[in-house]
Amino acid sequence: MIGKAAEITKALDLVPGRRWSRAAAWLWLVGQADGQGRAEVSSRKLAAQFGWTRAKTRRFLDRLTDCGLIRREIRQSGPSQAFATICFGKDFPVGEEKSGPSAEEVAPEQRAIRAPSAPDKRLAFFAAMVTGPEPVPEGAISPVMVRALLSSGAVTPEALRRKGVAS
Amino acid sequence: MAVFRKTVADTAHFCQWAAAAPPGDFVVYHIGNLGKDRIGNAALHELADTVLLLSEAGFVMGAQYPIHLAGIAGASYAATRTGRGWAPQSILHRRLTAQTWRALNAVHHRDSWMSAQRAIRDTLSCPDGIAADILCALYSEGWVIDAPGKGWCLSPTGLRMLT
Repeated sequence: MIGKAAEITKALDLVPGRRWSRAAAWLWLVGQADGQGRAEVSSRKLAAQFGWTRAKTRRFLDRLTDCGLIRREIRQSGPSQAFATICFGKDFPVGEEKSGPSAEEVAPEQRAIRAPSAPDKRLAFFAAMVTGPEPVPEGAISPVMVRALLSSGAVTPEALRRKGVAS
Repeated sequence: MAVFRKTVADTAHFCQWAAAAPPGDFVVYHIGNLGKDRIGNAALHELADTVLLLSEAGFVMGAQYPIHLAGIAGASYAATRTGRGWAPQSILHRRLTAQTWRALNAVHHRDSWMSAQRAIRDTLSCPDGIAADILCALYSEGWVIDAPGKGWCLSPTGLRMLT
């Protein structure tokens, strides 16, 4: 994300120090954010960049905070810089943290079964699952589908019993 | 003259009563806490769903009367025949369950832009997978057919089931 701010400034013909729109200011701020989503939000520097008063800049930052678009870090007293974390999507980025196993690590029987949604193809899919050599994962076939398979005659109750599916 | 309450034990019994009851006649179909009791009781769930369907159609009127007796904190659930409204013959004659009727109705009366699976999902408030399975069940019974250019729609048999 670093370096995007300069591109945005160039692409939108923005002149630092001239009066910017709020939308342009937000785009520039997002472009300023680093890989972790952090960007410096010093109201003095931003006011100079956007050509706004410091009061307007503060109101703009307060508005972004209220709307949940940025989360400002509480600054310790002293001359340290003020930073904010930018919300890019539904949630704030949380670094490189990963949760849960990857798709490769999930056991084959735990993967979701992607059955076709068209009724004729779906019936054929589950009928093939019951009559095929592979074991049927527990809970893969709902009671409604079991009734549909039996009423269509695609499988027999014995075949279902062999696969451990309650009919 | 004393009025003794009538009770029904299951959906078949309730439908039998509803088909023959004169206007004003009422029946108690459950005593307890219906919301809780129907969770683990498929037969009671089906019965309550049938009462709800017929009350939506104006054929019966559902009511609950609180009971506060020693050791009992619940209600008695009664259905009264209204003398108006209508009831699908397929429900009264137990050819369909209320849930299946709702699914058929949803497929038949859905908007043209909506898929049959989505109509079932939204009507029955069930997950996509279960809605697809229900559509499969309707298809396997021959009540739903693939109409070229129109998606899945009701077959003549399905339409008869809806009435």
